[in-house]
Amino acid sequence: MSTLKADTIQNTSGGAVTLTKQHAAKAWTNLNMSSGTYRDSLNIASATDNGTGDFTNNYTSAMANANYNHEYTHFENGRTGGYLLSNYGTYVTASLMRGRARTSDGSLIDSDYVGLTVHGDLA
Amino acid sequence: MSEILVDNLTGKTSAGDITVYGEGGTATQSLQQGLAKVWVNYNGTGTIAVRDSLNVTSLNDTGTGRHEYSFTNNMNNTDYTHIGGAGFGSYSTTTFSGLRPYGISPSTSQAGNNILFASGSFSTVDTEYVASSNHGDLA
Repeated sequence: MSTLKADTIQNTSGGAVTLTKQHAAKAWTNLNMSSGTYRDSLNIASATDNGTGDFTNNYTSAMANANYNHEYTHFENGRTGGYLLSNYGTYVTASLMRGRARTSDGSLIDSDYVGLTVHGDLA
Repeated sequence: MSEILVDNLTGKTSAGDITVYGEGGTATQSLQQGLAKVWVNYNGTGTIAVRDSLNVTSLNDTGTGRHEYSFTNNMNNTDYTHIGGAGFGSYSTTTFSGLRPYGISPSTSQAGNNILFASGSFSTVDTEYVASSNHGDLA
């Protein structure tokens, strides 16, 4: 078995190395909207609290464009259901993703847990 | 194009930390932090069964629409992210299903899914297709 030890890997042009049909996530979060704090995250500089149930994830390193994939879910302790809605256009850009968490009746709510992952190209 | 054939990649300074460049050639990030540590695709109806997975050692049915999967290699803490989705085997324009992670006390050794069925109101339901993934730190 061979092992390569390196701190940084680039392709020969100085760009992203190809991981043979695999792609790493470019951002992910475990966000507590109630407190406005991240329990843990990757490539997230800050969260902007836009009001109850309305938040923005601001990326540390921007994406190349707004065409990236983002998947998310949220969970409110003690509630039986809910969903998370993001609005494209101005609310999903290369540098941020804004979303709203709602209960099953459509009311905005600060959720205890919001999970997000982002795949795509970094700028 | 150059290509390195190797079985393992290890950080030289820190075994668990390799930096890679983004597609634009400027931004960098940790390779390990970007990799999914757990993912699973399973049938949540009848005798629930895993179709395919990464780092999942077992899947347990804990009630209607409630399933737990255990990790082969544990996470380092409970701050990992958990996302997923669920769907029925047939298409409907009037009902939909969704997935939420459940567990008031998250665990480093397992994660749970709660499948919700919506048709005017939410209730739990078993669905044919359930998929979820976890990113974070391995122990």
